Amino acid sequence: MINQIESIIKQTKVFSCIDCGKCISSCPLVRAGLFFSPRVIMEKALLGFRFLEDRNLWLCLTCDVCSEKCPSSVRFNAFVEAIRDLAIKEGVTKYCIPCKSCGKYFATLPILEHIKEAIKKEDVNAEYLMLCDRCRRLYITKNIYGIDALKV
Amino acid sequence: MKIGVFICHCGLNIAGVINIQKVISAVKNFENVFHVEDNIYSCSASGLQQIKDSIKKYDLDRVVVAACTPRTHEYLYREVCREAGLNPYVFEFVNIREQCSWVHMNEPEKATEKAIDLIRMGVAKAALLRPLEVKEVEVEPSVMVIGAGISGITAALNLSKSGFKVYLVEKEPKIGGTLNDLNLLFPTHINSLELLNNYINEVYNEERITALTSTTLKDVKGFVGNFDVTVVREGEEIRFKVGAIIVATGSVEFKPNGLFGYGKYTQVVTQLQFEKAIKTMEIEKVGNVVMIQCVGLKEVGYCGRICCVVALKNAILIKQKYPNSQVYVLFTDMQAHGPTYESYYKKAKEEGIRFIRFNLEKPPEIFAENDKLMTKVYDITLGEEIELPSDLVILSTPLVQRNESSELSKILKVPLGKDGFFLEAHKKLRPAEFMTDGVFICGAAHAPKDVQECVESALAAAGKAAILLAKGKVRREPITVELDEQLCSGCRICEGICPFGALTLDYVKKTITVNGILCKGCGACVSACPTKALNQNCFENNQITAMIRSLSTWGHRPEALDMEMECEKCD
Amino acid sequence: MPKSVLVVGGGVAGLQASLDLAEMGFKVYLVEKNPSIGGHMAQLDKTFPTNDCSMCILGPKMVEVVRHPNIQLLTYSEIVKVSGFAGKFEVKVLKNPRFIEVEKCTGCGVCTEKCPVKVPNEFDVSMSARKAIYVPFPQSVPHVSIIDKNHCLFLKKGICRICEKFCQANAINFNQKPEEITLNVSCIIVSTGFELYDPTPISEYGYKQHKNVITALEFERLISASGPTAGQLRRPSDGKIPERIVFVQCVGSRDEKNNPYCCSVCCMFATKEAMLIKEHYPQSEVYILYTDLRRSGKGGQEYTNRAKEEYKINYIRSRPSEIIEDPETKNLKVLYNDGNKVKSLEAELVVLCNTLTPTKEAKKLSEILGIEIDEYGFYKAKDPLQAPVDTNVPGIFVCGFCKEPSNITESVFQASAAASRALELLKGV
Repeated sequence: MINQIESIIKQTKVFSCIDCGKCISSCPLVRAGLFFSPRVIMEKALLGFRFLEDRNLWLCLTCDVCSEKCPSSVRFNAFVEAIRDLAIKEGVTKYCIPCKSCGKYFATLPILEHIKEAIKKEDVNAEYLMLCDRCRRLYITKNIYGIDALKV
Repeated sequence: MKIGVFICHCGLNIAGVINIQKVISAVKNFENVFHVEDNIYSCSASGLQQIKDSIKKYDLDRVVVAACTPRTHEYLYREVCREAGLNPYVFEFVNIREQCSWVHMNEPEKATEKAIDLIRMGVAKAALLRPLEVKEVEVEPSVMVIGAGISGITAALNLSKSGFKVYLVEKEPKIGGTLNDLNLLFPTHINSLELLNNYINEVYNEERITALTSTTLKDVKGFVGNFDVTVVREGEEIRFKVGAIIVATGSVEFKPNGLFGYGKYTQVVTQLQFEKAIKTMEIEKVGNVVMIQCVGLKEVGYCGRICCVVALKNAILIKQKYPNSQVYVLFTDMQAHGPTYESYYKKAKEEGIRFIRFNLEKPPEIFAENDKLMTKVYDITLGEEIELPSDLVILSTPLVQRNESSELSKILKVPLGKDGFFLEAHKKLRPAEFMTDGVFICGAAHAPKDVQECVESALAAAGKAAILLAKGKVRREPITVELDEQLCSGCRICEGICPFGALTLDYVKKTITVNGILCKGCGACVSACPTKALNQNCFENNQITAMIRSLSTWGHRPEALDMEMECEKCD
Repeated sequence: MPKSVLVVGGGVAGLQASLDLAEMGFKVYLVEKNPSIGGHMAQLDKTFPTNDCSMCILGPKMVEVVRHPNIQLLTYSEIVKVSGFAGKFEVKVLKNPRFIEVEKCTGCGVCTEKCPVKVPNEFDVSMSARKAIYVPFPQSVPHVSIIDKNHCLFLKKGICRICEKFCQANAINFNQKPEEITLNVSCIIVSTGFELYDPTPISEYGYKQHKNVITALEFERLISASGPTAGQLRRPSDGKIPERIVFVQCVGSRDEKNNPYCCSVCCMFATKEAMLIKEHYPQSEVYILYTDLRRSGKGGQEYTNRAKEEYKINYIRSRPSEIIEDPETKNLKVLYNDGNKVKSLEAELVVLCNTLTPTKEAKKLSEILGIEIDEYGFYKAKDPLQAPVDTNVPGIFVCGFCKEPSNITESVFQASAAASRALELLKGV
């Protein structure tokens, strides 16, 4: 598994980080005062420490603002998604939410908590929140436009 | 007597504090002053032209310039006097910037008074200045290069190919210096010995190079253009004459005794030791390698500059040779500047080498746990302390000056700086020269350098030596000391005081002889001489007395009268 | 007849190479594209690590060059064509018209006083104005005027000619044409230096959007006694003296999206500039935000230690992600990371240490000379270890920043090295 992580590091250029800190100060979660750091996730991966079960890894919004600002062209978004896929394959699913419609893992619990906290609205359809984004699109086309895409 | 006084504004540096018009009105009335003018930048090409024109127009026979420090422009103004037909030594420079406007920025009125007094003294002295002759001496058309490492070899080859004779002196039995011990050189990874062998062959094939190995320097007498060198080779003394000397003695690795388990554990080595080992294939396999940067930084007080790139090189080589090894580099600031080294740093990261930043105040620790070596380090990024198993610990230490250099500095009369390295004439504009004329510096003996910088500095030093030899003659400053034999009692006090060895007793005449070429005009002997037999040109006793007297009589400093009386007690 | 050498570029490296060659006995042609020699070093206030006054140490070299009997200065000129080979190069140089007879002009400045046209002054990085007829800076060499043909009323619209009326030396000549001259030289040394990278594309830092975000060179001119504010650090928006100043390192360098390389000197010149602020205004607070503190050259460590301990300059390891302007006060908020937290530094002035790049003419010149350049535009050395100042063309040497990012000491070493290589190749004068 170390080799797989190494391969992800190489593909997403995490190794080229020059430790400038720009990602940390651009990250909306860090700016919101949350205990999170993209740099810490990368450092643990680079040093070969076990981090698949770190809450940090699952809190990342994958908004990619950090990659936009990164001067070393680190693709942090792609890195996080690839590591999460690997983690799920290794059986780390405690942070994952299955889609109510198709069962695919689509979001992470920490993110959901963060969104709920940030939105603090109860009128957002709970059922809608518990769908993966493909099913969510299908939900919209079905419930709003009356088209059942699966049938089509 | 027609003295011309030229007052410089130096932009706002002087004029911003000192009331130039007030100074001009005061100076106009000084005795012997025929013409006074001011200029915004008298050192500019047009300012100098103005001075030249005024000298000719008003037929001036003495010139005083009141401006900045003589250290920057004095020779320029002397040249202008010469071009205008005057002897360059009837010129006096008064410093009203460093010694007046810059240090009294908050007291403009007092600063103006002081400037007037300074010029007053300058004018009093100028009235007594005498024209002086410039001596010229032939230059011996050969160069001695001390040290035959990459710097010495580069300088020697360049000079010999340019047509000059070179004595290449090396204390070891073979030439090549530190490069003999190195493995591959960054950034091209060329084999060090391969590179050296090409040069060594050239050195021995060049007719004009006399390579003296197993040779140490014993003594150097003489002066620029005429150095008398004595070296010792296997017990035998060899003497020869050279016109210039280049110091290329390199430096050595700092030995981190007692630091990070060095000396205690055999698995803790320095980068140089590692290079020697990997060359001779002593290492069969490596597991976890930890490199620690900045070892010895606190002890030596300077950044070694090249040790980061050396670590990168060896880390890359380890990963390439032993792909299953894990290499960690523990660093504070990565000194990988410029495009080449920044790419090199990236390459190292690509190869899978991991970099951990630590704080100098919280350095890593080496400890043994069940026969295994561990490195404990506080990873700043992670914000926690981590432990790394370390099969091999390589310490990156800076280059330091050799112990023998203090002896060399005494023989050549060249200084060592606070950091132990040889001190150049000017850090930026004269980095390859010493203040001592005719002696030049290059390579790692000047400051820690990589091979490229050594070669560049060696070529620069060779070029400077070549200029001297190409000119064929050397002019000596006449601001030196002269002896009145009638007054000399042969007491030899001055001989002991002179730091340049310019004064020696003539055993026949029983009086002192002055070597005007060696004399640097420091004036120490003049003040020591009990009979006032020594007098320094351009700072003659009567000139200095006149300066003090002008101040006490007409200046704003009545206490100068006391100084004058004290001064005359020696008479 | 002594052999001739062409030196392209009259900054500190070009001046050093020219002087060395002239002292060796060669005839030197020094071609400089600007109307005065001196390069960027002439715009600096002080230089690291000695904090020497820049013009004070450069000035004598400039004057030595113009007065040296072996050096012929060709300013406001450019290289157009080069043919031949080592020992026998034929170089075509285009002398652009100044519209001034150089031998007649005394640099008295009356023409500048009378000229009605005001134009941004390049020497002061457009922070002050010059006239259409002007002397580039007070210590220019040669110290003669030049008419800017793009802004002169007569050359553009056929009116005015006031300067001609007032010139006592009859030095104005509106009929001057570009002149092409041919030089026969044995060797060529290239020392074209650098230019400053414009940080406008890095929109998160707000250069050109926020008035009080300036570049390092603009700072140098402000703090310089000969600059637009006579050495008073007055910030652009309201002329106030800032109490807290923040320097941002690596702007446009070590940045894959702009210039991936490290410019090697910005950590040191930021330190120097910070020290200058503290010397002028001891009560001010100065912060330097850096990525890796790179100590260029001998004495670098001592310099940064002094800055921290004696001058109390604050060094923070962080590259800021954004600079936000307060619309009322025009103060700036610099967002950066402290460990894993975001912090904001409120400053009244922000200095961006923008990177230095090869000149825009470098590529064209490399084609004219036939020498190789690397992917960043730096001229390539033939071999970094064995021939660091040679190029792929025998007889053409290169030194200074145009070869690789270098500080003044390194440029001077390389310039002298190039001169001694020329001597070696030509086996004497």
